[in-house]
Amino acid sequence: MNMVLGAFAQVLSVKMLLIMILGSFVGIVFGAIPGLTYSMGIILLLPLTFHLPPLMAVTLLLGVYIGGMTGGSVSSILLGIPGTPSAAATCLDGFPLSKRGMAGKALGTALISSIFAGLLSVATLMVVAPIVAKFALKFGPAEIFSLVFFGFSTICGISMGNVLKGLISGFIGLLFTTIGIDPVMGMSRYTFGIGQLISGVDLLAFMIGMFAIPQVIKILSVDESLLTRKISAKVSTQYPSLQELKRMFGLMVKCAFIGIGIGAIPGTGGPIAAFLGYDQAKRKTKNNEPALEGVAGPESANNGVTGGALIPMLTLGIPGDPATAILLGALLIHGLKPGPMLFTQHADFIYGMYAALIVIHLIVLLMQGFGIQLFVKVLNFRKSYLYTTILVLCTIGAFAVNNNEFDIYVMVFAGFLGYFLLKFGFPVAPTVLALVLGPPMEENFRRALILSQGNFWIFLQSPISWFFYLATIFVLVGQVRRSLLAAKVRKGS
Amino acid sequence: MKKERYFSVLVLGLCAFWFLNSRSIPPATMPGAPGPKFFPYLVMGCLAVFALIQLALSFRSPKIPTSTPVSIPTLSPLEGKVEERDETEEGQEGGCVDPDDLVPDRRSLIAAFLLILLYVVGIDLVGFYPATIPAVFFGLLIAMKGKTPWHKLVLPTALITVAVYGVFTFALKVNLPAGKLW
Repeated sequence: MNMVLGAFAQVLSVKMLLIMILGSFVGIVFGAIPGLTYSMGIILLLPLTFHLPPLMAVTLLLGVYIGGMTGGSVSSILLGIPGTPSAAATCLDGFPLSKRGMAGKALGTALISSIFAGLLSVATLMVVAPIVAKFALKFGPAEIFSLVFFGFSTICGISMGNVLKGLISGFIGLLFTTIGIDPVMGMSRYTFGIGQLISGVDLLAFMIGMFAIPQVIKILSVDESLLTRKISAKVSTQYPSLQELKRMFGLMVKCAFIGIGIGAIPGTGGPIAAFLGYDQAKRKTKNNEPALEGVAGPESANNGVTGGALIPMLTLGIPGDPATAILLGALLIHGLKPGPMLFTQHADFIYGMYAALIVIHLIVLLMQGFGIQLFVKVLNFRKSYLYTTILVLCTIGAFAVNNNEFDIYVMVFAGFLGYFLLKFGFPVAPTVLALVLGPPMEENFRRALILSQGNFWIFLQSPISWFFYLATIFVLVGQVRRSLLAAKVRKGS
Repeated sequence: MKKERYFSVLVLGLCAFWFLNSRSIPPATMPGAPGPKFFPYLVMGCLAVFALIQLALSFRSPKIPTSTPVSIPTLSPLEGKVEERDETEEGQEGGCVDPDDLVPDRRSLIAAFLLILLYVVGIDLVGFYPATIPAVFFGLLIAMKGKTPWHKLVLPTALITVAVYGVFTFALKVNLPAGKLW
C-alpha cells in the first residue's frame, strides 16, 4: 500500500504532470494525423528522454502511446480516414455518424470508451503482470529461446496480409543483427571493414530510419496541396447520456477484454482487436445502420490493447508490436532490462509506471474532451512544415542515443531500405521486430546448446518450451489461413 | 509481379554477399557447440529459401493487389486527383488524406533522396546547424513544388531552426555534431 501511495505521490509532482501532458498531447496529435503514427511520435520524443530519470522518460513515451491510440479516432470520425491502423474500424460507423451531424457525440463516445477500456487494461496489467513475471523466473536459455521463437512467429501477424513477404522482411532484419561482436564468443562478424560496426547496428537509429524516413520521403515527393484541405466546421465533444452509457456498458467491458487478450498475444495488436470489437458491436445492434455502439466497440477494443501489450513486454521482454518494441528499446537505454527481474529489482519503477498509466488516461480524457477544436486545427496544419521538422528531429534522435555520427548514417540506410521495402510491398514492422528479437534468440539458442554440450533435445525437454512451440504453430497456422483467405477474397473481387 | 521478382533476386544477392563475408569468421572454439557462423548461416539459408519461393511465385501468380488497405482512400491513386465526397451536414469538407494514396512525383522523389543524403553528409562535415538550415529550406522548397515563392520559406526555415535550437541546445543541452571540418 505504501508503495502505491508513494508511486502516486511521485507521479503527481508538477514535473511529472507536465511530462504526461506533453506526451499525451504529442500522442493525440500523432494519432490524429493520418500518415503520422504514435510509434513515430514515441521515436521522435525519445531523444528528449535521455536526460530524464527512467520513470519520467518512460512516462513521456507512455503518454504518446496512450494519447496516440485514443487520438486515432479524431480523424476516423471527422474525415473517414483512420489516424492509426487501430482506428480503421472506427471509421465504419464513426464517419457516417459524423455525416449525420453526430460528430460530437461520436467523438465523445470514442473518448469515453477508449479511456474506460484503457483503465481496465491497466488494472489487468497490474494483476496479471506480477504473476507472469514470477512464472518467467523459472525460464532457462532453452525456454527463453522457445519464448523468443514464439515472439518471432508474431511477424506473420504484422505482415500486412502476406506471410511470405513478412518472413522475408523479418529475416532481413535478423541478418542485420548478426553484424558486430557475436554474443557468446565475442568474435567480430560482418563489419565489412567499418570500425563503427563492431558494436553492431544501433537498434534505435535503425528504428527511427525505418519508421520516419520513408514517410518524410513520401510527403516531400507528393503534391502537398492534395494532402491538406480545411475542416471549416466547429466540432465539440458531446459525451453520451447516462442511458446510452448504460446501453453500451456491457459491450465496452466485453470489447475491452477482447483488446486486452489480443494485446497480450504478441503480433496481433490494435487493428485486429478493433475489428473484433466492431463485430461485437454489430452483433449487439443487429443492423447495419451506423450507431454509437459501432464507435464504442472498436475504440474499447483498441485501447484495451495498450495494457495487454505491456504484459509480455514488461514481464518477458517480448514486444508485441512496433510501439512496444520502441518502448522496450527506451527501457534498455535507461538501464532497465524488461523481464521478471524488473519486478523484483525495480518495483518502485513498476508501481510508478502503473500510477502514471492511470493519470495519463485521465489527462487524455480532459485534453481530448476539451481541446478537440485544437486537434481539428492540427489536422489542417501544413504537412511540409511538419515532416521537414521530423527529418531534423530524426537526425537528433539517431545521433543523441550514443553521441555517434555514424548512427545518423545507419538511420538513413534503414530509412532508404524501409522506403524500398514498402515500395516493393514488404512490411517494415517485421524487420524492426526481428532486430529486437534476433540477439536474444541467437544468444539463448547457443547458450542452451553449450549447456547441453551440443544436444538439440534440450529444446524439447521442458513443458514450457513445448507450450511456446505449440503456441507458435497455432499462431502460424492461423495467420497462414487468414493470409490465404484474404488472397481468395482479393481474387474474387 | 516484376517488382517482386527483382526484389527476390536482390535478396538472393544479399544472402550471397553475406555468405562470402562469412568465410573470414573463425570456427567454434568449443567442441559440440555452434560457433559464430551458425546463426548467420541459418538465417541466410531460410532467407534464401523464402526469396526463392517468392521468385517462383512471381512467375506463377496473376496480377492482384498484395495487401488490403487499412484506410479508406479519398484520392484516385492513378490520377492523383481528389475524388468527389459527400458534403456533411455539419459542413465539413474533409481534412487531409493518407499520403499512401498518392503517387509521388519522380523529380521530387529523387530530390528528397538527394536532400537526405546531402544533409547527413553535411552534418558530418560542417556540423548540425550549418547543415540543418539549408536542409530545412530545400526540404520545404521540394515539398511546395514551386507553388510558394522561395522568400516565403525563409521565415518557416528560421522558425524551425530556432525551435530546434531552443529545445535541444538551449533547454536540454544536447550535444549535437560539430562537424569534422572545423
